[in-house]
Amino acid sequence: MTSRRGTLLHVEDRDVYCRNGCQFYGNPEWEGYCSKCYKEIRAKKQLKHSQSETRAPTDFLKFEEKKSRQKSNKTLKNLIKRANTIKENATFLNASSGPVLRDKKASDSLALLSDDLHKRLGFKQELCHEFVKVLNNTLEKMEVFFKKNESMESMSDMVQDAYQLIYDKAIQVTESISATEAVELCEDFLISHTYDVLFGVLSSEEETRDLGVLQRIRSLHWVRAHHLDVEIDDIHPTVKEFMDEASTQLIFIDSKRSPREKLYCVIEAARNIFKMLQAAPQSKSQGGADDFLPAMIYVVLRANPPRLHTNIKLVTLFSAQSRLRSGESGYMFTNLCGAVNFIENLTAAQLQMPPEEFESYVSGKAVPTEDTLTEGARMMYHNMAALKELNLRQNRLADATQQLKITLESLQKDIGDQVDGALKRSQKAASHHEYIVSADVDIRCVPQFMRKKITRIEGLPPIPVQPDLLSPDNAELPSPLIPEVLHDEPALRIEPKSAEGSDAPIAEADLAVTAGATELEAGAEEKTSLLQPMNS
Amino acid sequence: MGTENEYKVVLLGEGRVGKTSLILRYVHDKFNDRLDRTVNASYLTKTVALGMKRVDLAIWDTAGQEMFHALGPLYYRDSQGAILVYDITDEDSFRKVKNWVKELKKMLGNEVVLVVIGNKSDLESERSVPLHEAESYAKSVGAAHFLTSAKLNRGITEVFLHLCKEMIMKRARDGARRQSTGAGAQRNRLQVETSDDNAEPTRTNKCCSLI
Repeated sequence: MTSRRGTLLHVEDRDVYCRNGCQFYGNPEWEGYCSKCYKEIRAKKQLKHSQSETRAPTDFLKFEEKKSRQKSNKTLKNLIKRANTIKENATFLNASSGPVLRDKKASDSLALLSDDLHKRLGFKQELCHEFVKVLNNTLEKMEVFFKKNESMESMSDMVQDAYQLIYDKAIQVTESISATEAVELCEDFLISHTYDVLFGVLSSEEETRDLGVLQRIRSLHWVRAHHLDVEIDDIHPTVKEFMDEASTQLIFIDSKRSPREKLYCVIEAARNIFKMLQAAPQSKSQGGADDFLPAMIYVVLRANPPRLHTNIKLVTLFSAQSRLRSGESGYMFTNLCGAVNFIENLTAAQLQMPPEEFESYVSGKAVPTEDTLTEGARMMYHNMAALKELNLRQNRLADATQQLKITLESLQKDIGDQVDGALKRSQKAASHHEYIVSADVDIRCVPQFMRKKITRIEGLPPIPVQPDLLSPDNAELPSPLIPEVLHDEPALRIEPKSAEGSDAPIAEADLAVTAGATELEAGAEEKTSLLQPMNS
Repeated sequence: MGTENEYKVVLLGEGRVGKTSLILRYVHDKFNDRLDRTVNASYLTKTVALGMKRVDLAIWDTAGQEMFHALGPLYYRDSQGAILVYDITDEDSFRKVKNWVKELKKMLGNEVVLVVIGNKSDLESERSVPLHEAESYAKSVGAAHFLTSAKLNRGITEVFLHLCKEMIMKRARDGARRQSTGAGAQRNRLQVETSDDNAEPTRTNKCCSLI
């Protein structure tokens, strides 16, 4: 069928009509027959089948049937049984030995970590080995904790003690910044290595709260920025863009495997929130906490990030305290915690509305009437704004095009005029070209191409002909070297008489020189013409 | 952990009393600059040289609206200094400062250096909080009182200078006391749960309860 579908672009008769040729339409579903023919053919096939069945010995068939049924039963049962054993095995594994944390992968990453500490932070090899030892010990202890099913808080204490130990070791040889960095590198390894187990336990502990927050945020879908005493213009495209980016970052938190990366997401989200607050042209926000915290709450409400409590708890319990106590990451994380806390404990009084009203909104019985912007409406506004903008640009473009057209037209006209003028002038000039020579000049002194155009005028001073050049003694001499003369150079130093008759007096000396040149040339031309057969 | 020069200062006060303007003026020397806006004015850092000492201030701004009051503990825990800002033309904001002081005393004990600031001193003519009342109140809770104007850049540097000095002295005293009593660096983990009543007992610090 799929192959047929590929060729259906060119539908031929045999593709459309029944294969039996009964002039009804066929259908690939019915093997290319029409419904009537297909029914007949199927009935025939079934008849054949039943005939063969009846031919077979009945007791054997029954036996076969029973066997096959048994087989399927067995496999089903087996499946269930096998699943059970897997489950049992898994729980057994957990109960007896707990997860194995010190494996090949751990030792590999520890080697890398120690290398990193040595090369990047300049700790001595021995100290790096000590760090690795501490981390290995911690992993071992964590295995025990998991085995005994101890609380996450006690495990956190143990891990924090390990961080403190590493810090204390590091601070003896370096300053606090490097020591903090060392701790953070160790933390990065420890948590991302044990992430799956840790996160699994935490998420099962926090499941109810996670779901609770999820539900709560859903029920607060109607809360708008103005409820939270902040101005956010969701319709503005740039604002929306930053808000979407912030939401994305908040959602990303769940997918990151170490506190460092998770906190980085929080910071990124916060940065986008600040940008969002100040993106709208009429925004008065200075980026202070008065606006930032409500905006954070609003974005959390919009994004509804998954497993908030699990992630917050993981970061709180297992990240190096330097990250949380101080620095930008600590501040932003505190704000996220604050936002979650606020959302969970939100009351009608805080939003300054009657409790009944609040309840009816939360339970979904009512929806606030004012500015309930659904996603569709928001998109519409967004598109409308975009269209308006486009329209404006289009108009501007049209105006500019018109302007360009006018300019081009005038330019074309200008150029045309100029070209016309130039052409006319040159034509005039070309048709009236005359070379003025004195009447008594020897025609041989005039280049051939000029000879027809010369005008002889009486009274011009004679051109002194160099006697030696024309003397018969020189006839035998080879022709002198002559410069190449570009043909068709009317301005050949002989002043052309312009059509307008600007009869500037031709300078005597000038003419003399030119005459000499022409003379030379004429001689040369004759000589070269003589030489030509020899050359060829 | 954290360096010994680092000090966390939290900024408390009712919404729109000028907290953000105050720190923007202090850190970036800007006031309501619409052309050159700092993106983040909620968390700012500033390094102050105080004689031979270096102080790295981390200033945490808080949302002042009443509805976020309950989140306060998240912000002011572990802070060495608290700046309480009120608007001299707004009596309510002064009342709010009193509330904050009460709460801080309850949660942090004497661990924190308090400074009370009457902002918008350029609006002296519209003053509704009597100066002597504010000053005597500040004195009664062991806090210094300052008048500032972010708009005119008046009195702000003095506030932070005083705060830095006080915090350094406090830390030096505490360090000495901690050594003598042998109480090691104890951990107080960040608590996410901050329903006001249960967060309190964990906050009372060991060395203070000894006094």
